Amino acid sequence: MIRIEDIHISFENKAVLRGVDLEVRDGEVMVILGASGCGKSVLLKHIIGLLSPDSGKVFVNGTEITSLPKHELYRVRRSFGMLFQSAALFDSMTVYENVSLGLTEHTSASETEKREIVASKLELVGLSGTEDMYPAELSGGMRKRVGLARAICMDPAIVLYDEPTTGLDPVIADTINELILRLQERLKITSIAVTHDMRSAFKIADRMAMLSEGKIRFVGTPDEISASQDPLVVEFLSHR
Amino acid sequence: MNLFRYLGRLFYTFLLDLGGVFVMAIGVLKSLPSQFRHGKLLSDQMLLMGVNSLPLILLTSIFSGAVSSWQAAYQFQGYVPLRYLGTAVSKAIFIELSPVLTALVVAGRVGAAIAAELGTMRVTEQIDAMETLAIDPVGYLVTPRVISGMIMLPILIVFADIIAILGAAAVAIFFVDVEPETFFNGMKMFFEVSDVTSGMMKAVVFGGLIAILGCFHGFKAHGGAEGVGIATTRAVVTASVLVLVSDFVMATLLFSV
Repeated sequence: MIRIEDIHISFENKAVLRGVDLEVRDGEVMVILGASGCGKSVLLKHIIGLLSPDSGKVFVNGTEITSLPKHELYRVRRSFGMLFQSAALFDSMTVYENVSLGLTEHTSASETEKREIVASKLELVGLSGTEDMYPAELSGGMRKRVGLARAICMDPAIVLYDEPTTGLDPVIADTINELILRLQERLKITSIAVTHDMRSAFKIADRMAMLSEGKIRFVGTPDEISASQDPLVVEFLSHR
Repeated sequence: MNLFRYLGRLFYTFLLDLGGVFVMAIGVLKSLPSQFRHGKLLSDQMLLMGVNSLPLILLTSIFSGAVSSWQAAYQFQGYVPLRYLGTAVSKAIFIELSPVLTALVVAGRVGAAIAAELGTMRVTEQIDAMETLAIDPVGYLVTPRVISGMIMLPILIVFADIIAILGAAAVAIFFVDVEPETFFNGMKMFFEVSDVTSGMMKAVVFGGLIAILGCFHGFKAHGGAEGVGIATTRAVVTASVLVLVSDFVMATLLFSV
C-alpha cells in the first residue's frame, strides 16, 4: 500500500503541492486527474522518491521513503516501474539494452535468460522482434510500449504511469489502455496513472483522485466521481 | 546597489556550483568499486575521449610546436645562440604548451560533448528513468567519464609532446636553418624526465576536471534545447578557466622558484 501524508512542495516560491493526502491500495489502478500543470507528475515523482517534499511523508508498504538514505531508497525503488510521458528511452541503447538494463545491473541473469525475459516482455506489449532497433527508429506509440516493457521487466509490484496516452492517436491510446489493464490482470500490480485524458482514465481506473490547487479535491470510484456534485469536478468531467 | 546584488548572486551561484561539483566528486569516489561491472562503459568512453580526439590533438600539436619554434628563434636573434633553440622549445612544450593546449582542445571537444549528451538525457528524463530503475546515474554516467578523462588525457599528451617536438624541429630545420643535430642536442642538454612527468601529472587533473565539469553542467541542464546549449557553454568555459587556474596552482607546487 502507498500512503501520502500532507505533502507540500514549492518551486521558486510557487507552491505546487499544498498538503496532498492520498492512499493507494494494493492491486488497484488509481488514476490521478487534474488540469495540465497542476502538479500531477510532481506528485508521481514523490511517490518513487525522484523528488523530496518540503514537508510531508510518503509510505511505500509501510516504509517511509522521504528520509531514506540513497541505497535504501534504491532498494525500495526496485519494487517500482515507471512509464514516463516521453517514454524516456535511452537514445544510445537498442530496445533490448533499454529493456534489459535493470536486469543487467541488479541480477546475475545470463545473456540467454535476459534475452528470454526481454522477448517475453516485448511480446506482452506487442513488439516482438524489435530488440535490435534504436529508439529513433520507433514511432511514438512504440516508444511508449518499449518504455512499458522496460518498466515491467523486473516484475515490479507497483507501476507508475505519467500521462500514458498523451500525444498518441486514439487507436494507439486505446492499445496502451488495454495494455495497462492486461498487465493489471496478469501481474496483479498496483498501478498509479496521472492523466488529463478522461477517456483513458475512465477506461482503466478502479478509483480516481482529482488534484486541484495543490490538494486532492475528490477520491472515489469512476461511478462516484461521475455522480459528484462538486462544481470543479463537474466542470472537469464535462470535457470528457 | 544592483551591482552588489548581482555580484552577491554570482558568488552565491559559484558557491552552490562548487558544492555541487564536490558532492558529485564524492559520488564518483563512492561508485569506484562498482566500476568493475562497467568495463564496457569505461572502454567506450576511453575510445570516445582518447582515440577519437587524437587526430585533432595531433593537428593542433604540430602547429603549436611549429609556432613555438618560430617565435623562440625570432626572440633569440642577436641574444641567444640557436643551439639553445631545442632546449627552450622542448621545455616549453613538455611543461606547459602541450598539457595546457591539449587540455583546452579536449575541454572544447569532449567537455562540450559530455555536457550536451548528459544535458539532453536530463531534459528528456532519461536520467530520471535511470533513477527509477534504481541505477545510480553518477556511477553509471559520471564515473566512467571521469576515469577515462584522467587516463586518456595524459596519454594524449604523450602523443601531443612527440608531434609538437617534430613540428618544432621541422620549423627549426627547414625555416630557421638549424642543423637537426644542433636542435636535438639542445633538447637533450637540459632534458629532465620530470619535465614530461609533470606535464602528465597535470593532465590527470585536467582530464578529471574537464569530465566532471561536463557531467555537472549536463546534470544541471533544464528547459529543453536552450538549457542544453547553456549547459554546454558553461561546461567549456568553466573547464577552460579551471584548467588555467589549476595549471598555475600546480606549477607553484611542482616547480618551486
